[in-house]
Amino acid sequence: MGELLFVGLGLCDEKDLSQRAMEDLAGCGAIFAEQYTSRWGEGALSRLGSKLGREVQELSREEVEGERRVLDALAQGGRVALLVVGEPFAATTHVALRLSAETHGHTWRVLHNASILTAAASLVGLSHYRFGRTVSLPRPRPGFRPASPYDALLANWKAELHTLVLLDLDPAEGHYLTAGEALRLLGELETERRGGVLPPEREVAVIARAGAPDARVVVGPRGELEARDFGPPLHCLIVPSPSLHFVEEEAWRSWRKRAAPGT
Amino acid sequence: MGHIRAELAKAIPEMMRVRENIRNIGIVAHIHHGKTTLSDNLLAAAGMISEELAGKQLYLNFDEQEQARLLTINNADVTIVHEYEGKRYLINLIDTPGHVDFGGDVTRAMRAVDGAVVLVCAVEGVMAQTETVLRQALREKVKPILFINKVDRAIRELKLTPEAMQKRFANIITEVNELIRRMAPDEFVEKWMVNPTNGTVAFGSGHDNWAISVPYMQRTGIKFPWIVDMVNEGRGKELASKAIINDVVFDMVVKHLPNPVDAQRYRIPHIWKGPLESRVGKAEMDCDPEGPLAFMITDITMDPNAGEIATGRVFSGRVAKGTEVAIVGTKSRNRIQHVSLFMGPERLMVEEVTAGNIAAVIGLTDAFVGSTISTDPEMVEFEEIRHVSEPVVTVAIEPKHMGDLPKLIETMRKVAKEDASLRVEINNETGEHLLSGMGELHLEITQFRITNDYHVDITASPPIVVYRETVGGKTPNAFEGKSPNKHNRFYIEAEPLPEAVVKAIQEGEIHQGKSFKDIKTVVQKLVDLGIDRDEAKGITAVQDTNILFDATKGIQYLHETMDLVIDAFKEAMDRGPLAAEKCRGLLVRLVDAKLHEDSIHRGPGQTIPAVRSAIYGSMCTAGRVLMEPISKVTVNVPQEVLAGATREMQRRRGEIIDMTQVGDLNTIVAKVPVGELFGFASDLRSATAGKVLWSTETFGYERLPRELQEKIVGEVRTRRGLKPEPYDASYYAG
Ligand SMILES: Nc1nc2c(ncn2[C@@H]2O[C@H](COP(=O)(O)OP(=O)(O)OP(=O)(O)O)[C@@H](O)[C@H]2O)c(=O)[nH]1
Ligand SMILES: [Mg+2]
Repeated sequence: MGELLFVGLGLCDEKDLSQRAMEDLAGCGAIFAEQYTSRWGEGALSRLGSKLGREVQELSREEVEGERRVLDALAQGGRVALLVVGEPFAATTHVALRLSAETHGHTWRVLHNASILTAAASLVGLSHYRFGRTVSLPRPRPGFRPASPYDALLANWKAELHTLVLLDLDPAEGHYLTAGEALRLLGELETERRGGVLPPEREVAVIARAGAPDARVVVGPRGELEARDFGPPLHCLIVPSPSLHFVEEEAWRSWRKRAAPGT
Repeated sequence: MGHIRAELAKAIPEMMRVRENIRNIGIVAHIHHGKTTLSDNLLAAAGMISEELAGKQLYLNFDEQEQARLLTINNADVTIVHEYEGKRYLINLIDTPGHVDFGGDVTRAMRAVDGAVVLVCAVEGVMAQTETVLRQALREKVKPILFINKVDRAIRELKLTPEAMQKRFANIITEVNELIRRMAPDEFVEKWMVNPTNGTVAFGSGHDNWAISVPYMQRTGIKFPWIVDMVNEGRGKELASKAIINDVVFDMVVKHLPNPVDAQRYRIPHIWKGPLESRVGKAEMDCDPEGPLAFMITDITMDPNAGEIATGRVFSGRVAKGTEVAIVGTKSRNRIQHVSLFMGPERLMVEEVTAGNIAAVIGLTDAFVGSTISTDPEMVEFEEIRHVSEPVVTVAIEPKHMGDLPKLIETMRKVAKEDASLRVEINNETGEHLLSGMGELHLEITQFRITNDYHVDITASPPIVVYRETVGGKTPNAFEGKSPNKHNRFYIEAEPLPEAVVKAIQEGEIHQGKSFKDIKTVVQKLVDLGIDRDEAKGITAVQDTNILFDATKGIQYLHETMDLVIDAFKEAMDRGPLAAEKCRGLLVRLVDAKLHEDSIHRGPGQTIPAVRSAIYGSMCTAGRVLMEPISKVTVNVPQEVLAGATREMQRRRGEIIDMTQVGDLNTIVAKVPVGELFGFASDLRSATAGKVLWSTETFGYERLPRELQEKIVGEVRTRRGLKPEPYDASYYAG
């Protein structure tokens, strides 16, 4: 029977891997990685491969969801790793695969790493326990332009909670929803649903490339930020609660004053 | 003759403006009941054909293929001038085909006309195709009158007494009236009954050029026994000079079929769903030549010299040479280069054609059969002309020389434009160029045209039947379909849709799509057809003859996922799980769904596969069934070759449903699978030493015998490049 090792890759590149992870990976039979739920730094995966002296096989969404590749490798016995950007069971869940592995009699282990779920709030300086449901915002497509992300945001707002908004990404097609597009889309939903949470003057935070050396935070009115370019992906947003604790308030204000590079 | 024609050429453009004196009619009948022979002789008798055409046999079958095969393939438009009670009438007549493969032409012709002369052969009587053409006419609110044809043959061959003969006619009339009673719009059922005493029925011989009607007999003193004697004595010429065919037929047409002004009053609300009080609505209702243009294309032909000619009915306004018009519903505008009316079988160039007439136009390159042409691009389009039968046979076509490929593709698009019953599918993945049609003959003729008229040498695969997929029973437990990420589940049941509902969809009473303008009426319609009211209220989408019902209650987020569920339903109905054929007559019911709270985890990439798996899986557990198209074949043979003909049908899995005998003539009616009919024509000819008359009509789809299903499924799948075995339920559950 095999052991499935879920390895969190963190937010930036191969330097984010712990010593423990490097050692455990060295003893793996097969090393798989998925890059469709998030994106690791350019070339980081192949650099990791050369560092380990091993081939890292990238799996498509179909292959991960189909489970066959991973289960077949596990069936050979030994340890099989699946590398996941961020924290393995956080922003996107691979619990289904973990359960399948269990059903097939394998064991599993997880090596944690930083997640955008905590990083964004930490960076901005808002209290983690005051966040409501995390909301993902899909890129509208024919037949699919859900309004429920707005509704969830509104519910958080009414409960005086902050909202972290994660943006749709499709690395296979090279498509990343930008903060500007997302703010425009939320603006449209505001006009349609009229919950009052996102008028143009509402202050929000854009977090670009959290965890990377060129990470950036910009705070400003939604209407103004929707026209701005925040550089390469990934982006996410925070819509703060209507009432901030005075320490949060101060941290928030500090971003307002800062003239972020390139603005 | 020459000066008559010159005079007519001057008179016709004037006559077209006298709307009360116009009649637009079609001649419709079962195959070979004599439409073209009658139309020809009427034209000749009315002096409407040029010398070069006169004397040519069946010149309305212009086409080389029509002449070689002795049947009509295309609608032929002609115009005849007839004098009645001192007034001149302009009669626009369309000779339609009788062969079932070309039934779509009849449907389309019925949009252009207001009246129909229904021919019934006195020997064969009312046939199934007679019923079909009557239905096509009545559905368009086209008024029928009856002509009992080939009376000469009935007299000579059946050798009945005049009384027995009259009894035979009475039976035909009763049968026709039964059909009218059943199919006519309510308001016309009584008014449109045909009746020999009031002159809506005539009898005669299109071939020998004579006809009579009761009013005509009363006027002239001719009696039926005298006619029988004349025929038996072979004095046809004399008979023709006393019982003048064009007088009898056209008097009946002028007197009993409506002029366009009267007809449009009740036809417009039926064929045009725009606001009747609007400017164009009023003009159409009044058949107003001064109103905005409303012109509907009902036929497109390729003329070797003139190019593409679009023919149609002008319901209001005028089509004028040199004007620019809009193809409604598209962004295109075209300039009209030529306009013509018909004079006899020829086109007569004119400056304009006004409301109430049938016009032929050159220059409408972006129009299709069914297009609405107007000066106003925003005009509401005419109702779609729906032909109930669908293509059932396909061939794959390849150019003989690879260099001809682009030309072949262009040609296939052109022939499909010219013939609205054809389907062309250029599959870039498999590299196949598929041509689907109503039958073997239809495809043979189309291939001939591609080679001969468009000069592309081709090879074609043997014909392949177009199958349909459905289910034999009900899904025992709702089938669970999971999204690839496993975070969404859809629960679906499948079962056969009641046949009455399938029929209502085919007849256009229940519309395709996912938005229902008047949902209450649709629900009531379904309830009337036997669907439970609670179920009916959940109607979500109609794709072909399949319906998706939503039986869920208050599932959070489902509404914002529904469009994707419908997309998956459409995909599944277009490509069934068994052989990737279209589905037919399925009721698909969504009973439950478990959705991920976060919308990003239930986008198209997750929802569509989940729903598709649930539908396919539910079809597996309900018992997948392949259906094949069936033809009803009617064969007329003399006793001596009866056994040969019967054998020919039986060895093709034919099921004989009726057998009758009159004198020496035997009529066998059988249901035979279309797939078994390839090559039937020549086999039947040799089995009967050529002493055979036969016809086919579509008889819908029936279940393929169980023992054949596996083999056929394997064949179809292999042809499509799929593995021969279809997946089973456990695959879709995964
Ligand atoms: N004896 C006799 N034969 C007729 C009469 N009318 C037509 N026929 C014959 O019946 C056959 C079919 O005639 P068509 O005029 O081609 O019939 P149709 O209805 O136009 O045929 P399709 O267009 O193919 O449906 C020909 O052989 C004609 O000569 C008639 O009044 N008497
Ligand atoms: Mg004909």
